[in-house]
Amino acid sequence: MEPIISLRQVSKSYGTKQVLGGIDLSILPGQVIGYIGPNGAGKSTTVKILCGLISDFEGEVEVAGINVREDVLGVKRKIGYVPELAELYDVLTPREFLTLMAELYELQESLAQERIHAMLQAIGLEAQIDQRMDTFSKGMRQKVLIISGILHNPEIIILDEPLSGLDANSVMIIKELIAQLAREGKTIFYCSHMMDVVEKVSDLIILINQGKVIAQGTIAELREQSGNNTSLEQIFSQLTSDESMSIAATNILKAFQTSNTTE
Amino acid sequence: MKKILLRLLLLPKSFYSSIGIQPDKLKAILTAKLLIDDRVPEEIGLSAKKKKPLSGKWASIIGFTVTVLSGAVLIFPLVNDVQWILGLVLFYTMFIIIMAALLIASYTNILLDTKDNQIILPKPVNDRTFLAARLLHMVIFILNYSIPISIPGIVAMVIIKGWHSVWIMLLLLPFAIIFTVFILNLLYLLLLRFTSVNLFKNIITYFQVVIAIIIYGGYQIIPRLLRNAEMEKWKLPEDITTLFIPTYWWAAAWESLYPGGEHTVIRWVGTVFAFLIPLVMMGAMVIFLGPVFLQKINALATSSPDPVEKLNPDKKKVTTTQQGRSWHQRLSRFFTRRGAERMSFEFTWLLTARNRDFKLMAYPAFGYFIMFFAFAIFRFSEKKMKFSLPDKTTLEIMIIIGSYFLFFFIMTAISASKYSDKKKAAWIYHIPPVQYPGAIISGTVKSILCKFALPIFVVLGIAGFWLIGWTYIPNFLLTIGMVITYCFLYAYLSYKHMPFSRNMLDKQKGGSFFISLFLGSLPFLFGGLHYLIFKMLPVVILLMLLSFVSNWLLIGSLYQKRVEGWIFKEEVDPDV
Repeated sequence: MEPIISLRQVSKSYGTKQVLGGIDLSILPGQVIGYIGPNGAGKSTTVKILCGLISDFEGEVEVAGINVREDVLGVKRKIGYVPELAELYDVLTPREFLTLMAELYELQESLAQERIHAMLQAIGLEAQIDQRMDTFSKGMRQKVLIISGILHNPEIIILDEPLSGLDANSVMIIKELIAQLAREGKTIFYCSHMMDVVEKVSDLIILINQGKVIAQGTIAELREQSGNNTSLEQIFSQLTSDESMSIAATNILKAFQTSNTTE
Repeated sequence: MKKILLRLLLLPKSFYSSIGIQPDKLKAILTAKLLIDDRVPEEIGLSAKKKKPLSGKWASIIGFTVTVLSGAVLIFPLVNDVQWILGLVLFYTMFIIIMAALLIASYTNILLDTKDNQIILPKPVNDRTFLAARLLHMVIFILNYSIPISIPGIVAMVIIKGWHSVWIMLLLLPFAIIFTVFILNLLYLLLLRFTSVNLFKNIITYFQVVIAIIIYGGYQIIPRLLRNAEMEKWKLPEDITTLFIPTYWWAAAWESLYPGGEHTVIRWVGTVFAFLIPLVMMGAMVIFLGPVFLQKINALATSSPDPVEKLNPDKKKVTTTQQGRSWHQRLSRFFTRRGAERMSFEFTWLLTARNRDFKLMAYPAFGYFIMFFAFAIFRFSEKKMKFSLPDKTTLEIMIIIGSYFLFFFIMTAISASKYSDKKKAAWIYHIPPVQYPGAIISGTVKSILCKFALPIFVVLGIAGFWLIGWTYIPNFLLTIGMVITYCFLYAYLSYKHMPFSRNMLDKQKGGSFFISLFLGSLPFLFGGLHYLIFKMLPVVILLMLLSFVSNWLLIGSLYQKRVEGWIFKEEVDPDV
């Protein structure tokens, strides 16, 4: 089977600081990819390159058979992207905002309105469809953002921390949504720090650190590689942390002791 | 109005398609943007309890009237006895400067709106459409202002030249505006090419301040210059070199299109330039400069790293004195009490240097103060075309009375200290155990006084003593006493929130009209009273002592202002 997302030796630098250092990825259609890494590892940069938002990178990127350098709009049509902590035009209502999104994805008006209604209803926001979003909670905004990313029924869905700000019930809805979308053959690229969710929803987990892939495989394969670690959180910590977490915590408490003696 | 302009601007669909713009998406983005412009964000927790702001209709009428009045300065070149074409060149020059000032003032909202990077750029919208949407959004925004601003000029033209002036003016306006938008975009691009993102934002801020001062100076100087007899005799040499003055193009077009106008070859060339060059500029902007410009604008998104700053992490280290304390920390130890007041003093000192909203609001007021002061002291001779100092007594009165203009600057600075684009960060005031919220306000006011008023007092004190002598001192001390009294009174009556805890957009929601009127009229009252008792030395000394006592009481009252009456819930996140 041909990969739907393929990155070959992708590098990106800001000045002399290298953010990505030769990333190779090959993702098959219908896979749910858990893309994880510590802060500053290069996750968002990878996602921005995939979405065609960053063009000055080295290497080759193909999405659904389209080279991102040659046809960036073609790539954007195939992708649904939900950015982390994204901005909204929050003086608009969900209906107005999602209608704009539908127009930008060239959806037919009647189809767009039908979908907007159905999706908002499914996610519990139908009553707020004509209410301005500047009074919405973080969770409500996040739900609107997720809908804006999947409204055009894309083949590939890129979710960057999609559960941020959501309550337990909404998290369950989104997790179930990810599972159902995957069953329908969608490819999901899922970036998150919530290891338990990544562990449960991903077919393949890719761990990056300092711009390089340091581990990849199913959760079972990662467990096997890392010895007797039982959770993804422990594997992540083992592979990405310079020093023990408990040493760091001890050092913080030591600061109190030092200041107490000088007070 | 905006909808009509949108329809008109979207008419040349095939032109847009031919230069690679997606017309349907352009329309969708612009429609949404205009909808957003018409809505002011609702404050969280704002309910029926909140005082009703001015009704939309009245606010629009007042806004429209103010805009029309601000265009009154454009009349001067037309109604004076200068050559008509020269008057038109001056008219369009002033018009473009005012438009540029408006554009720069709104650039964060439209041109450099980083929200678009996250919302629109990931969608299948090409760069040209994205950029064209921004350009046309600016053009609509400016056209919406330019028509009321040009009303006084149009009325003057109708009176002088008849009804034909109306359609000629309306026809030429969009082209002059497209030209202004292009020049500003080019300026931004050049600045972004050679500076870091943050330096760019700072340069633009100071640029706005300078433009505001130039416009105010223009209001003062241009009418005086135009009354000069030499100016009336001067004729604009119309040859090929004149075509290098862009505003001549529209002046020439006006003359060429006017039925009774004087037609020459140079003027017809100017007319062609007036229409053609703005269109070529717009095309060039979208086709050639667009991708570069977008790349630069994308870097303005706060999430994007700034290469220059990343490479020089030590560049912005704060300078401290040898004892480890900077100047503002030393001043805070001298003027404030330990705790909330001192924290607020130091915090305000730093934020007033770094907060863009503050700079934009307060710094032009400093420029106005300098201009007011200069025009109060120096005499301008229209015959000799130069400034000169008046006699010693008048000079003393004018320095003292001119110092009262400081009220407006400090008042604006205190008012500006209420606002920040990071208003949610004001939660920090509510977490520590602060007994008197007034202490925080007091620290802010003292910080503003030390930072902005103290240096001016020092300069005015030395200059006045040097020019006038010791007799100047009592009156000068009374002025200082009055300024401080006013500042604390202003803060006591008008400060209802924590410093830097309000969004600039909240400003439009208004406050108590009578308190504002009272506070606005006090400087005139204080200045007027001082003028009357100026030569009565015992009265001056008595009032000076009284002002110091009132300062003492006011500072204490402001410090001890309790929580009641202070609104906190508006800073709370909707999730809680």
